[in-house]
Formats: sequence, structure tokens, C-alpha cells
Amino acid sequence: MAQTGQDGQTEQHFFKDPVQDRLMAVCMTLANELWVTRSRLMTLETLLAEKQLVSPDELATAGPSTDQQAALDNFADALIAALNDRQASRGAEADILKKFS
Amino acid sequence: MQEQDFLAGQAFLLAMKKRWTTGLYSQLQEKCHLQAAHNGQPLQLADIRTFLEPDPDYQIFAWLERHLQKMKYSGPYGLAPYHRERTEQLSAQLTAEGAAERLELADDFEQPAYYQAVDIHQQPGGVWSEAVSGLIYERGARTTTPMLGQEHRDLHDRFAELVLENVGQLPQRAAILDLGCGFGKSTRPFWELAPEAIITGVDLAAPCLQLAAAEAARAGRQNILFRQADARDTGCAPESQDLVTSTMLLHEMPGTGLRAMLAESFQLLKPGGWAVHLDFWLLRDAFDRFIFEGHSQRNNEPFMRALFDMDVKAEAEAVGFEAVELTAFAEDSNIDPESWPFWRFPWTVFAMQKPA
Ligand SMILES: C[S@@+](CC[C@H](N)C(=O)[O-])C[C@H]1O[C@@H](n2cnc3c(N)ncnc32)[C@H](O)[C@@H]1O
Repeated sequence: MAQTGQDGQTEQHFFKDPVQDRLMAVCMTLANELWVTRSRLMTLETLLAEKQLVSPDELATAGPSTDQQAALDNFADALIAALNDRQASRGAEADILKKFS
Repeated sequence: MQEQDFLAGQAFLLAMKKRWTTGLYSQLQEKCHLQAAHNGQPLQLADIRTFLEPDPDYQIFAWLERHLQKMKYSGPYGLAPYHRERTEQLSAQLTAEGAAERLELADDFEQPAYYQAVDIHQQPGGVWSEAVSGLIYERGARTTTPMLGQEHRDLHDRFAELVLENVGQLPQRAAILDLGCGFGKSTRPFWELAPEAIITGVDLAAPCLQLAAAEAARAGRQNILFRQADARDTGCAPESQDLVTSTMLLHEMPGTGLRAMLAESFQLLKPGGWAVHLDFWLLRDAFDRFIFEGHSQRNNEPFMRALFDMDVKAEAEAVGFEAVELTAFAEDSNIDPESWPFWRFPWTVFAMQKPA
């Protein structure tokens, strides 16, 4: 769907293929989220260390538990799956109308 | 949206904008210089268009200019959603004891069609249509010139100082008029530097004027009035003002509006009075021109480009002004407008005098 202004205006484009404009927008939105998330994490880690609930060393050496690793693996799978160009449900074959008229 | 996420989200955009202002901009400028050296002559505007428009570095530069600003106002951590969510609690900032005496809003004020036709600076709804529009604009303006830091006050102070030094001796209770005063950022240094002056700020945007009046009231400033009026027809009496000024108003009006504003300021100045405006106009070369024509388009400021095409000196002289002078303005003591290597607005002072 085109990005629209209040009365349905299409966004300005700067690249040869307008799809690139949209991909850039997705990347920049994700980068913005990442910055916000990292900022929160830094705050949290600083507070944890200050309150001596967790030491910086522990944070540096702690790895994910088995369950956490499985969650990370699922995330990686989902990313790859999104790129694999496969339908996630059964689609109509090109000759379906010939088969079932 | 949580406060800390809003702050972090905006900090990200500012960090990107700073790199855009320095790295990306300078890279394009350097490319054009090299190309000119290669050609053995300066590039003309048409050459720069042909050279840069297909260039991926330029495309990314242009994309970022458009979208960092879009995200600043409308993104997930944008100024608009942040302020809209807090409309009720933020409204307190728009009032203060004594603000009402410093504020004059018109009933059923009809906004000019040109003003409603575009959301200036990509601020959704413009600076006028919602209760929090003035607060959104104020917050946004803190990072309009990323190289000047958060306060961005220097610029307005420096301009007011320059004006007051150059217009000669004003009467002690001089009447000063700030056209398109917004939320009063451009008015404040005048009321600070000329404490006895009788100051009027006019603007179309009620939510900005409310903020201006509230700030003046909080500071205890007397003899000040923020009035909702059109700079083309202010309602001020003929020959009532000693000094007329504006900051960043000229490029926000179409050419016909600018002519009408010049004529209006001429007639309401006392004989011998000065009009001094700060805006964007003197461009160093075709590269600047290309960059700012693009900015005009990308930042929803369509009349900026038209202003570059106007002969403002001739327009001012046509309504009767004399001693019309346009000079480059350094917004900071570190900046030499001729050689500054990073992106900056082409600040220009337009000074003109009504014959005595
Ligand atoms: C870029 S802002 C500058 C505000 C202020 N002078 C400052 O320096 O912060 C331009 C202002 O001009 C106002 N404006 C645009 N057209 C106007 C007009 N015809 N009459 C009065 N104000 C106008 C806008 O509402 C806006 O507040």
C-alpha cells in the first residue's frame, strides 16, 4: 500500500525503483526501534549494576539458556522463512479453472 | 509512548541528521567540486541536476532529508503522536497568570488558502490546527539547526542584537512589530534587549500565539501583545511602528503575499523607520541553489523556491523603501557563511528604510 498523506497523497520518491524508497523506510524504522531498545537496555543494565543486583561481569559472560537459545533460533528461522519466496498456504495453481470449471 | 522512548527515538533522528548535515552533504559538495575541476568551469544548475540526480549518494541524501523529518514529526516516536497523547496535561503550558492580557485571538479567524494548502515543515496539520500545534512546533524547532545545539537561541539573539545596533537610536518606548512571530522565539530577544519597547507579535497560528503569550506572562514582560493577524493586513495603525521585523516569514508566503507584506510594513512604519527581516536567500553558488530547491520540495516549504526567484530588493524599492540591503548572516560566531563546509540555511538579512 502506498504511504499516504491526509488526503491520499503518495510519498515523494528518490530512487529509481520506488520499492527501494519503501525498503529504506522499513530499515530506518527498524534502526529507530533498535536505538530505542538499546537505550532502554543500557539504562536497565546501568541500574542493575548500580543497585548491585547484577555485576557487569555477569552481564558480559552470561549467555542465553537453552530455552532462550531456542527462542533466538526461532527468530532466525522466521527471518529466513520470510525471505524464501514460498507461499504459506496452498495457493491456486495456474490451471485450476481448467481442472474445476 | 513512554517519555524515555520518545527521547531516545528523537535522539536517534538527531544523531542521523547531524551526520547528514556534515558527512553526506560534504560528500556531495566535494563531488561537485571535483566535477567542476574536471570540466574546467563551474557547474551550472542544470549540470548539477544531470550530474547528481542519478547519483546514489544524492538519492540517499535526499531520501534522508525527507524521511528523517517525516519520522521526527510522524514516526512511532514522533513529535505529533507524543504531544497528541498528552494534549490535556500539556495544555497547562499554554496558559499562565496574565497571559490573557497579552493575547488577542480573532473570532472565526479565516486562515489564508495558501497556508492551509500544505503542512509546513511536514508538521502534520501545520503549526496552527490543533491545541498542541505550537508546542509541537516549539519542540521541533529546537533541532532545526542541528549544528547549533538544542537551544537554537543564539541565532535569534544575534539577529536582534544586529538589528538594534544598526537601526540607529530608537525612542525609549519604541513600537516594535514582529511579523510571523510563531511561538515568540524571534520576539523574545527584542523584549529582552529593548526592555522599554512596546512590542507586538502577529501570527496566523493561535496555538503558537498562546504559547508566546504564556511565556511572556511567566517572564513578567509588560507592554507586549501577541495578536492573531495576517502579516499582509495586520490591523496596526498607519505610521505607528518604529521597527518592523520578521524571522523566517518571507519564505513561508507566496510572492503575492510577500509583496503585500512589504506594502503593509511600509505603510505602518513611521517615516524614517526600518524594516529588517531574516530569511533564506543569498546562495553561494549553483550547488547551494540545487540543495535548497530540493529542500523546499522535501521539507514542504514550496514558497522558499519561489522566493529564490524573486528580486526582493526591487520589490522593496517598488513599495517605496530605500537603503535596501541584503547581507549574509552568520547564525553563530564560529560560522563564516562563505566557507562553512557543512549544510546550513542561507541566512540573509533584508534591511530597508522608509524615507524620513
Ligand atoms: C518558520 S515560522 C517562524 C516563527 C518565528 N518568527 C521564529 O523565528 O521562531 C514562520 C511563521 O510565520 C507564520 N506565518 C505564515 N504566513 C503568515 C502570514 N501571512 N501572516 C502572519 N504569520 C504568518 C507561521 O504561522 C509561522 O508561525
